[in-house]
Amino acid sequence: MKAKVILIAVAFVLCMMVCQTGCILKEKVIEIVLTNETCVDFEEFSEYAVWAGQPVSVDFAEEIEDVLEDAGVSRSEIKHAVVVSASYGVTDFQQVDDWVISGAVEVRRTDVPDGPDTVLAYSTQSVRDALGRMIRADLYKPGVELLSRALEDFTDNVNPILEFTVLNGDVDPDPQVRGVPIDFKWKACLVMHIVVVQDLEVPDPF
Amino acid sequence: MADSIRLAGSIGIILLLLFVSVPSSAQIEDQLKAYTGDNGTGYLQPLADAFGSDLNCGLFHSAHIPETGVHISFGFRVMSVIFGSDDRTFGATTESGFSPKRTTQAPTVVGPGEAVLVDGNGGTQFAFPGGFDLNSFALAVPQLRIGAFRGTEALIRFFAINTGDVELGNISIFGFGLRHSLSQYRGPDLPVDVSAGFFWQKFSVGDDLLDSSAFTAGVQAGKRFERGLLVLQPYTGLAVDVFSMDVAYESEASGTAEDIEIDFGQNTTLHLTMGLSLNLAYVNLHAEYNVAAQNSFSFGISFGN
Repeated sequence: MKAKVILIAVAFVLCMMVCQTGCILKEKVIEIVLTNETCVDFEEFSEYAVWAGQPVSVDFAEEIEDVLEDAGVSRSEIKHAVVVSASYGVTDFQQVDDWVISGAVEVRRTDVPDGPDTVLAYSTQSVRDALGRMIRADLYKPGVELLSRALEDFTDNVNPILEFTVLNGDVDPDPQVRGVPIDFKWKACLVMHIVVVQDLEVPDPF
Repeated sequence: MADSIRLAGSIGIILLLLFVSVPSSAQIEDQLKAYTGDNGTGYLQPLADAFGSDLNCGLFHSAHIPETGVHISFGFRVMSVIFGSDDRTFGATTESGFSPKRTTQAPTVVGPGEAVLVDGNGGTQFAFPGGFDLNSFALAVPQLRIGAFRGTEALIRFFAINTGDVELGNISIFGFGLRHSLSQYRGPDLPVDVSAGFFWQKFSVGDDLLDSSAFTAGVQAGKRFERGLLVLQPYTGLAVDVFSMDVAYESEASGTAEDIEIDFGQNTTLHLTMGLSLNLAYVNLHAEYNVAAQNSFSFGISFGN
């Protein structure tokens, strides 16, 4: 009986000591960074060195919503959404002879009047060298700013729709000279960071 | 005695569950997804250091080991590190094809909660995730002491729990060690108790999320001041600690999933302990301060003889 009383007294003192420090769990505000990569597939077939490809639409909101859903967060918890980098790579190329291409990719919004603006460019790029690889692309400020506005509108519960168009400026050798159309598939990817604010209780007893 | 053990067990489970936070472990993995390789190491380094310090302390609270007789005690140790300002940031480098490559001071896992943004070419930005804004990191473990055979006792730490979380899986700790009385060979001429011992432990989370092992070997000294049922014992110890930790997670820094394994290497450090123990019948209370690569403190309660 004496031992029980001692034990209960000790347990009480221990619990009081812990609670005096403000309890074990503390509420913290933490900013988590989610990474989203949006890729756009292009198919190129041209008898000429200069062409404008078929525009490709991307439901930007759906892409980002998938990332948020995987992380279990909602739009209202987004603090920042920023464009980090871009890359491109050839996904299918069956022709025997290589081509060297130069051009740019434009982006515009179809849900509101915005753009088109250049977002990335490729210069003297060998199609064969880019096969099966992802090559870092330089991003252009006007296009990045358009994407940033789209991200900002997304956090304001707007659903942006983006349209990407390839504007190829040069092919070496010219398909007209070679007598064979240029034919390949490729993709461009954009990496974005989404900073989300979360309230958590974490053990921080002392 | 049996009732004492049951009550001690209940208190211990409550304390341990409070310290082992399942949601926090899952969120740490979420934060890590933004990083690969070197950045992941820098982000987690303070936690690795704290684990090593915490695991290797609170192992003993007396240098006195009886020569013979049945001596069993069961108790709980709380070990904690208080983080300094140096632990809160690290030199992080941009990833994911960001240009230009930049290094900046970004939060570690224990650092400020705010993400840090840096500007790049063409209006781009890179975001380094925030930390959990921790002032301390504590572990609570149960410990069993069994002795004594020719002045030798065994120490055991064991705890395992299935979190029920698919990502985390099981959390477990297992440790074993021996301590041997050296002062028994000098008889009553020695004014203090002296002992030596070693202890090995393994702490893991999930299948391979976190695997760590700790080993310590050293000598302890102390003196007993008895007054009736009350025994006051200041004690000290000097040891060599070895700690290693591996972390495995899936990074999404490049936009697609990539398996990352971080090996924090093996750290060896000297460790000085200074503590005070109070025995009252079958209950022992103790507290100590540890000076090592990362300073820590520990306190605990044991039931037994």
